Amino acid sequence: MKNHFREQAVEALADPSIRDNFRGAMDFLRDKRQAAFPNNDELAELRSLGHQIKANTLSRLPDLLEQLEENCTKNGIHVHWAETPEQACEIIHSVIKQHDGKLAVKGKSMVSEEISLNHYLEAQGIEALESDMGEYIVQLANETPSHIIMPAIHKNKDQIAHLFEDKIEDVKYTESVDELIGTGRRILREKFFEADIGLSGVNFAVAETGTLCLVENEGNGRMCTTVPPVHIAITGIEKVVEKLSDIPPLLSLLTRSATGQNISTYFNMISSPRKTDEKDGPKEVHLVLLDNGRSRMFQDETLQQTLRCIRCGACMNHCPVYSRIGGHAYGTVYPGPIGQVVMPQIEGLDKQGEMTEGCSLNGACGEVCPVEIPLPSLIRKLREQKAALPSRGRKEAIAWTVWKGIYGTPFLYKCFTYAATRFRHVSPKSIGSWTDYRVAPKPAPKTLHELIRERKND
Amino acid sequence: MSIAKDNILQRLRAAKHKPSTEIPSNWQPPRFDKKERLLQFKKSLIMAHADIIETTEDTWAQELLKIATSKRLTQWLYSPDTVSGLAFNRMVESQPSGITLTPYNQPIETFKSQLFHEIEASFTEVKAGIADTGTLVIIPDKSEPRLMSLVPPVHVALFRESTLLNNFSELIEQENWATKGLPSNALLVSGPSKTADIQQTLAYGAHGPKELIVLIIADIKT
Repeated sequence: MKNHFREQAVEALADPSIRDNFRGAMDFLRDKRQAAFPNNDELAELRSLGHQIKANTLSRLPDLLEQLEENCTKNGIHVHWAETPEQACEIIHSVIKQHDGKLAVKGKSMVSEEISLNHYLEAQGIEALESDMGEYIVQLANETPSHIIMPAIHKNKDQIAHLFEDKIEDVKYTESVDELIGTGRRILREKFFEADIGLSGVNFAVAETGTLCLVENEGNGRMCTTVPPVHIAITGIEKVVEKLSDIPPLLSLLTRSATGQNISTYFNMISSPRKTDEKDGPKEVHLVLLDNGRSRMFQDETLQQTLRCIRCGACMNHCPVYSRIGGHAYGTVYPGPIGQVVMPQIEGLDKQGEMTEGCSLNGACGEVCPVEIPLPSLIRKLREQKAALPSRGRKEAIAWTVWKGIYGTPFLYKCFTYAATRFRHVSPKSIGSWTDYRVAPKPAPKTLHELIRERKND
Repeated sequence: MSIAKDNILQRLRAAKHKPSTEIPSNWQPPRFDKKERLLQFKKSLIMAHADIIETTEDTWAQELLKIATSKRLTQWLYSPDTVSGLAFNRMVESQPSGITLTPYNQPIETFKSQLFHEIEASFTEVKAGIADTGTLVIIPDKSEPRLMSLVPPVHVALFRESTLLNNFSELIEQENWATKGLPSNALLVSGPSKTADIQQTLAYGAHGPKELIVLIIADIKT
């Protein structure tokens, strides 16, 4: 089914609360990022290093994945491979079933959103509870995350206060953020206590040591990966990193770009399940490596750069389109510029091609990307591919064929521009949806060619 | 070997173009001179909302007792296997304080309820500190298990300046983890648990400790 990005974007634009909530959040995150990189030279060098590290990883991706599996296995971590979301869900379900699991607590994981894990498990009678505060709010509201780092960014505290009052027993309306967080803490603590399974994502998986690294501020990630007897981590195959010494620069880029923190409150390095003399930690650790289109992205020389992404969200924070329409308008798991590049490649241009049009090619996303992914070029490339599809409308096809004829023939072009400038006062006043909200553009009195010729003669 | 694995690796190996890795960079992690190093460490911790108390080898246990009494924290988790844990125990036993020290000396399965519902605070050592980011390096082991620094609402950590490093990269080199392998779990902790998930408003004590108190023992000036 085709995703109707245009209609959703128009709807979102008409909602003042979406615009307010995102405007506030984006300004906040941009300022924080800028303050975290006070020195432009240092930022440039660090971005180059991040680019280099991830490019190096990708250049040896299959070997490093095998090395990661080997070292994880040596450490006692079970490694599974999944080509599709269905396979990944089945693997996770079978592990949970082996342990007769009923309640799984989840740390934040966009890959788990990608495979719709919560719905899958729910259908199997297993409760999968989000424990990141933002994700918990989103799950309580029966929604999806609108930002990959701050999932509940589309809601303000009044809306969350109402949500808690409606959905949680014995909770009174309060706009005190401390009290709201306190409520979440109280409820989720009992869930950590009860849960038989912990689920999490992975920020970096280190091939040379077989280590899973998790970045977080709340401590729910540590809870999910430590309290329940079984920990299942899921990640995309592009999250592997060759060396442990690659981690400090990547971590610095990630937290500073994402939330403007020099480091997150917790950086959790997991290399093994509980050993015999240890008193806590999961007795079993599983790692699910998901492909879901990534190996296909890898085939294209240009588009494979998508796989450098470390999911910091800076591209969406700096996108003028995202900051106005918000994350839900994209109708996809990953919104914003990185979503516009990832989603059409995972789900196909016929389904997700329209979202590539939601971009002014202003270049901000590419400029802030911590691993120098040329996002605007990638979006443009996908647009080109989409334009070549037979699915485009007849009107559009005719318009471009006529334009091609005019633009490719100097004489015709001269006649056309002459006519357009000389008869500018009779140019159409109404040109479709453009003039629903705007005044129609009027051609200039003289063509560019004429102006340049005049300047040369001066 | 799984079919999925074969297929994924085969597709990756079939790719005609490999990314270029020729991207020069001169980035170096930040370094500080000795005096600056401790200042940077303290500054970063304070910015992250941690409380720091500068103390000495002779007085830290007293400071700890003072924290317990002034905050009315009576149920403490400690380790009887560490030198500092024993010193804390001696301090508590030396005078009537109403404080109960509980050792984490059994598997979580039998200790979970007490840990989640009764313990109010914990006291641990730290392996090292990282000045750049104001970070405590915690390596949980059988004496000080993983949840000791996570579940109790207040965590007090004992840190010695002699273990202070400039940056995370130095830690990796010093511990030789790349060749030796890592411990089961290694943690970088840089403040109390927090979240800004509700309208970008910072709130502390999201899921982990609401308070992180660092007892700092500075090097003796020579």
